[in-house]
Order: sequence, then C-alpha cells, then structure tokens
Amino acid sequence: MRREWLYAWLMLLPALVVLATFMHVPAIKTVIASFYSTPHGLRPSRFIGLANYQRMIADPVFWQAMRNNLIYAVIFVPLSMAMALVMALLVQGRIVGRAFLRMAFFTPTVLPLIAVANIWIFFYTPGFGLIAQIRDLFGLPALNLLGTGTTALYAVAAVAVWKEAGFFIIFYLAALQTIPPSLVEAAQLEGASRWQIFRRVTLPLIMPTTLFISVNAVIDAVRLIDHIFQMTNGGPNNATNLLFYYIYRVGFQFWDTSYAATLTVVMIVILSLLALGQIVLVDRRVHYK
Amino acid sequence: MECYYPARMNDAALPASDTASPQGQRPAPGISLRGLAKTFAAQTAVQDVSAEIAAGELTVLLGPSGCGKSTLLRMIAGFEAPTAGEIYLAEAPIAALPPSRRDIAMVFQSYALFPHLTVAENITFGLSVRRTGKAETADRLDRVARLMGLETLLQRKPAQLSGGQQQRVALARAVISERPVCLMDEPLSNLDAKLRAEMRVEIRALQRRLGLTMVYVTHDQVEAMTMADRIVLMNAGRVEQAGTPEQIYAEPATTFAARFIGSPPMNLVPAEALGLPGAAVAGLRPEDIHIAAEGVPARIVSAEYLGADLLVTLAIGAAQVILRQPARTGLPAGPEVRLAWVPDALRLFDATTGHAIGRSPAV
Repeated sequence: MRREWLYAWLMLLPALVVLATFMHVPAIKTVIASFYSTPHGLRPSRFIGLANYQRMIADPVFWQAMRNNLIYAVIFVPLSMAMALVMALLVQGRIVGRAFLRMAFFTPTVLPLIAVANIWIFFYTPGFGLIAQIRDLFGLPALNLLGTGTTALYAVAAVAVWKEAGFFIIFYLAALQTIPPSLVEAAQLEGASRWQIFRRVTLPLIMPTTLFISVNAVIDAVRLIDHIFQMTNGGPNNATNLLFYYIYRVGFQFWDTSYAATLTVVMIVILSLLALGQIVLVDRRVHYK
Repeated sequence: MECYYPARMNDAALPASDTASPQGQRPAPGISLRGLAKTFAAQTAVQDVSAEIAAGELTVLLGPSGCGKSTLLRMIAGFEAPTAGEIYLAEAPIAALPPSRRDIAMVFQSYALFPHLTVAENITFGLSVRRTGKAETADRLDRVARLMGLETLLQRKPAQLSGGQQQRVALARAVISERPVCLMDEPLSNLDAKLRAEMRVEIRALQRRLGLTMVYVTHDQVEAMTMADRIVLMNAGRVEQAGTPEQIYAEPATTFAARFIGSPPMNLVPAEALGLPGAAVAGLRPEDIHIAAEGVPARIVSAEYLGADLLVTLAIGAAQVILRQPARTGLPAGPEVRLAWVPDALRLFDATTGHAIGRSPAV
C-alpha cells in the first residue's frame, strides 16, 4: 500500500513540478505581492496591507479600463458566438465549395492576432484604407475609426470578433455533427420548419457546446489584447485601454509591479466568478447526453 | 423487460372509449410504387421497383443488408428523391411532396427520440409544431399513452427508458399523428431477442387495431413471416418476389427466395442428384424430405439436435441436403440411408437464371 502511494506521487511529480513552478507558486506570489509595496532602488518592499487596493479604487484609469472591458465583452462574446454558429450552420450541410468556405472561415484563427491587427489597420487607415475607400465611393465624409475616442473601442472589438468567431466554428461544427440526422428527419416528417428544427432540436442539443464556448469567449474578452499594442496602444485618451492591457502597462512599462499584481488578482477573481456563474446558471438548463 | 404487459394490446383490456381508433375516421390508403429507381453517385441502390402496398395491410420489405429496402422506404417517406418512377398514395402522386405533406408517419431504426425532451414532449412534438390546441393535445396524449402503456413514464427523458420503452415512445409518436400510413425502418433491431418477440406481437396488434397501412423494413425473415400480410422480398435493388408469407415459403419464385426464407433454408441440389431428368436445380424444404425404405441413396454426415426436431445433414453424391424430422423418430444405425420426399413439395429452378420452372411465380 505504501509503495503504491509512493509510485503514484513519483508519477505525478514531473507534472506537479511544472505546474507549481509556472502556475501555483507565481499565483500565490502575485496575491502576496499585492499586499506589499513595489521595491525601489533604496526602498525595499514592505507590507502595506490593502493600500494597493485602496489606490486601485481611487484610480480613474482602472475604472475606465473596467468600463471599456465591459463594453468590449458585451460586444465580443455574443457577436463572436452568434457569428460562429451562423457560419457553422452554413458550412455543415452539403453545399458547393464547403471545404473552401470552411477554410476561409477558419483562416483568421490561424493568423497571429498581431498579423490580424496589421490587416485591420489597412482596413481602418483614414484616407486610403478599405473602409475609407468604400465611404469615399458613396461620397461619405472621411472617418478615423481608430483615432476617434467614440469609435476606437468598437473598432478593436470588431477585430477580436473576426478572429475568434473562426475558432468557435470548430466547436460548433463538431457539436452539430453529433446530432443524428434521423432527429432532423423525424422533425421534418412532423412538419417542423427549418426555424423550428433549429430552435427546438438543434439549439438545445448544442447547449453544452454553447456553454463551453461562452466560458471561453468571456475569458477571451479579457485575454485578447495583442491587437491593442499594434493598433491603438490603449488610446486615444484610454478609449481602448482594457484591463489586461492596463496591467501590462503598469507592470512592465511603469514597473509598478505590486500595483500590477493587485490588478491581476482582481482580474482573476472577476474571471473566476464569471465562469462559475455561467456554469452554475446555465448548467441547469443544459441537456447532457 | 421490466414493465411489459402483453394484455395491453388486447382490445378487451382497454376501456371502451379507446377502441374507437382515431384512424377509424379516415380509411387508410394503399401505396403504389411504379418503376421506382434510385441511383447514388457511386451505385444503384434501387432499380425498377414496382409493388402494391394494400390499404390497411402490413407489408414487409424484406432482404439482406444493402438490398435497397431502406432506400425504398426513405423514398416513400420523402427523404430521398427517386431517380425515376412515381409513388402513389391512394392514386395521388406524392414523389414530389416534402415528407411533412405526405400524410405518413415513420418509426426510425434508432427511434430518433429527442434526448432533451420528456416522453410527453417527444410524443406531442408534431402536434406542437403544427400548433394543435392544448386541450386536444392533452386529450390525444392521454389516449395514446394509455394505448401504449406509457402513462407512468411521461415525465422521463429518453435516456431513462429501456430499449423497449423507447421503442414504444417512438411508436406513440407515430400513432398520435393519426396518419393512416406508418413506415417502420428495422424497428426491432436494437432490442434483445425476447423483447423483439414481444414487440412483434404488439406492433402487429396495433397495426390491426388502428387499421394502419404499414410498411415494415427488416432483414429478419422471422419478423417478416410472423407479422406480414404480404412480403416484398428484395435483392440487389430489385424485387425478387412479392406475395403472402405462405406463397413465398411454398412457391419461391427464384433460388434467392428459396434460400433466403426458411431456417435452415430450402435445399437446392442439381436435379440429377435426386435421379430427376434435366439440368434444372431441384429445391426441397428440409421438412419435406424423410428417411425411407426406398428412394435416393444418401449418407448421414451429421445430425443437430434441437429438442423437438433433429436436423440431419446428408450427402447425396457430391451434393448435401438437410432434412428436418421429429427428434423422437431417431436415426437408423448405419450411415447409409435412402431418402424420399413429398412429391408436391419438389420445386424446380432454371439452372442458369435461377427462376422457378413449371409454376408461375405468385406475384
């Protein structure tokens, strides 16, 4: 009996070491760091209790980033999921050029977000970008989507939707393929319209996948910030400053590591609560096979 | 199965209100298949099938897997469009209509129950998409649930039911539609042997009670023989023979029909092995041969004891035949015996085409 335990622990050890080194220990250190001051040349780090958290609550940029992120998520999560589902439904049937369409939908996922950002900069560039040219064609006034405070956040959210919808398609396609064709045929025989079949058969049966994707989408809504570096740097005037991007700026540009740790803790708590809430809330209404 | 009561399907066991079958108001139509063909990209599944499915009868489409019987059924249901030919439902062509407008119900091989809906919701799915009123839906659900013995299971999900109960829900969904034609695609293939035998009786009783025109696809000759009013025997996309079970058993139109029906199947040996003239193939059912004092010399190869019966394998020269006799008759001491047969039972088939000779095939 003893020996079996020993073997079990030995087997688990490599994974445990890696996980602990790169995840558990840093996570705990982050939480601890949030209660200390940032060390500076002559002033070593010292315990300051909740001072960092108090500072955060008083920080207008933090609140702006939170609000931005909320809007960003409210646009990104439903839109990327709905687009993924619509595109998956389009390419699941036997249609001409199915393979090409699937590839086309999936391509944005393969590209790094930085590259995607570059493509979209070409779309958005005032004067000669794609959107500017189209507006010009119809005689509409010029528009600087990324440079205007009221539109910049929507412009960067659109990029994220475009990128991630292609990824979510894969999950929806896989889910749609698990629905036996005879269920659809049975519904057809009963006289159900295409909308009724979708609403009453397809949609309930892919709910587990929808839940999975929604958890991922919410995480992505916080995590996907690469294009901000390329497109706006959080500007203009913090209009596209998202929580994760703000953490990066605080931690690695201002080198205020303790405050960055504080923000990180808050971000992780928010994400965990959201995921938990989604699962608890939606799980009851999801049918698992 | 846990809660199976054969008596349920008995008219006597049901309240009087139930015996007025919903289908009684609408006489079931017959189906006529004329020159039906279906070609898929790679192969021909059905070619030139013509058959009559009589009103109010149970017609079995029987054949080995890949013979086109399921494709034929799916064409009647409207899930496959025929490449050629026409389907008539009570003299009205329906091949161009979508499945929902054919007035046909169907029970799928996998039952096709909606896993996220309760039994009650599954049964009333069709009524609800057709926007039938609440009171009528409840009334019909109540009637069908009692008919099928599902009253206590209405709030369960399909995953909480046994195979036989799921089968019953699938049947209930077909019955509640009150459509006079019901198609069944190998409905018993997912059940164990005992349950299969019970459901055979039950489906047959239901079909008779409601006066349904039923088309039943199976590869199981026992199901076909025990349930069918008429059998349409198919092979390689064509109709091999159509007729009552008795006709097909007694007068197989081809060697395929002779070998497909009957267990063990009809013995087919060259006619000269039995001392008959000509180059035909002679066919004899195992129960029509017996060991006698006079007759064709044969040698006992082996015997298989089945309790009531004994299956004896015999060699006649190079040919082999199996005979069935009551087990208590016993076998003679030596291996050398003589065989005789009921003269009326002998069937002859053309050696090259395999078609029956001498008698017109019963179609």
